[in-house]
Amino acid sequence: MPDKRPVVFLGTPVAAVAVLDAIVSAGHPVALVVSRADTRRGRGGAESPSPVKARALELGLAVTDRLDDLRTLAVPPHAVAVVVAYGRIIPVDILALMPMVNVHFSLLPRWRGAAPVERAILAGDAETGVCIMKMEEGLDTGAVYARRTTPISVSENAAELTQRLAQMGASLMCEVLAGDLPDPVEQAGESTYAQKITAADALIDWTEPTELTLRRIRAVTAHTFVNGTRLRVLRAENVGQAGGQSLMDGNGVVGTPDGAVRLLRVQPEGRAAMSAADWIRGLKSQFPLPVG
Amino acid sequence: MATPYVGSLIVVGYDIRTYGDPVLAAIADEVENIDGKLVRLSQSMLQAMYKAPGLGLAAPQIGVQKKIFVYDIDGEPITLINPRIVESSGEWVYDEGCLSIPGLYVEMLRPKQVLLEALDLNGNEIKIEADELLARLFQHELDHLNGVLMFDRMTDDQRKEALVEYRKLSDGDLPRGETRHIALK
Repeated sequence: MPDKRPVVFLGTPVAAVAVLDAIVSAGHPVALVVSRADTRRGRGGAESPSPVKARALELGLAVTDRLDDLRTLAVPPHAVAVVVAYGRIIPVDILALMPMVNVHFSLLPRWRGAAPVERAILAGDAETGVCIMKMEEGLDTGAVYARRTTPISVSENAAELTQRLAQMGASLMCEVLAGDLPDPVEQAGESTYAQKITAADALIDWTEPTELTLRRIRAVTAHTFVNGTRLRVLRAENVGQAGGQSLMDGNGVVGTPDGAVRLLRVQPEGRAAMSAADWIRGLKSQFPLPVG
Repeated sequence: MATPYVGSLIVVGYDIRTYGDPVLAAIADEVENIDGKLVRLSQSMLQAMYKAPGLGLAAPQIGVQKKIFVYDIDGEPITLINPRIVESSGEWVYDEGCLSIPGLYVEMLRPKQVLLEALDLNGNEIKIEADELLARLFQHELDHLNGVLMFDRMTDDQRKEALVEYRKLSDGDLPRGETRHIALK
């Protein structure tokens, strides 16, 4: 068996774990895993490692949260650094240490930046994809080694699409790493920036068309307010021209200017996710309806 | 940006009449014919009731002076025509609300059980024994068909407080969706 190219892996969230797993399964030696520092989860909760760090420890790989450790690492010959949603800007002098390739979850140059999956869904894009890109100083501007396209399903939310793109990115990355790196192709076409998701992006505006509201619910952890308290809407569906309904009709249907949306799964403030039907049942017992 | 309120955003069909509208103080007429027109009326009433939302609705609340009311307590819409309460017993206190006095809930003491006789949409004579919430709903709808509102049933102390609170609710001094509860006294 020919020697597999050694890899240094930089990544943080769960989407990066799929790529790390694929690289390890393909037999690439992993010299070091760099992940962002442990974060505190929940109020007063214990520090918990990032998904990538946790997986690296399970796999028995060397892992660090200090990017500086790369400066002192004895980089194996032909090694490539694979970067997947690391979550920090990588300084120029570290970029110069070894070739670095990045998995980006969009069809570049569309949706450069922090939230490509969310922005593609919000914009109603029919398709998206993954790019294996050369890391350079600019934000997601590097030349592209390989790309793969996939349609966006209208029932898919950002977490599901991210997971699917992570799998695609993992296998595409392994193809790229298998041989000599191909000549990358400069990005061409109109570029757009995937700005970070803001509080305004996550607020449902019921005066917007049905389509947009449903996209928002799929793209981000969207919420609305009911009697002054926040309600996250996790899943909803289009129920067509059923105008004139209100949320409390027992079916969880909310009117929009061009139809209506049925809430399917929700998470009230400070509580676990539940079906909309259970939530409405609770609401009704809390606020009695007028008898007539 | 204003806080969005999840509620009915599109007004279709009938508006629900509120306190002060003379139709709510009139005695409704007996229904003579159960025909397609009456079936359509009951459907409009159910639509207005679900939209409101409320558990029941009497015809005068949408401006129709006929002895007919609709309700849905456990997922089944029911229409009753020319109803009368033939027996009642017990006592029960309930925080009663009315779609025609939106936002105001008043604790009221009324009989706990009633026996109601009415016609259904097929013209069949039916009898329903009702307890607690359903019994309260029947009594509330019967009041509407006789031109009686909750204000007419409150104690003097309750009425004084209720009118003050209802003024705040109806003048828009309080946010939409806000409620006020008047204890029994």
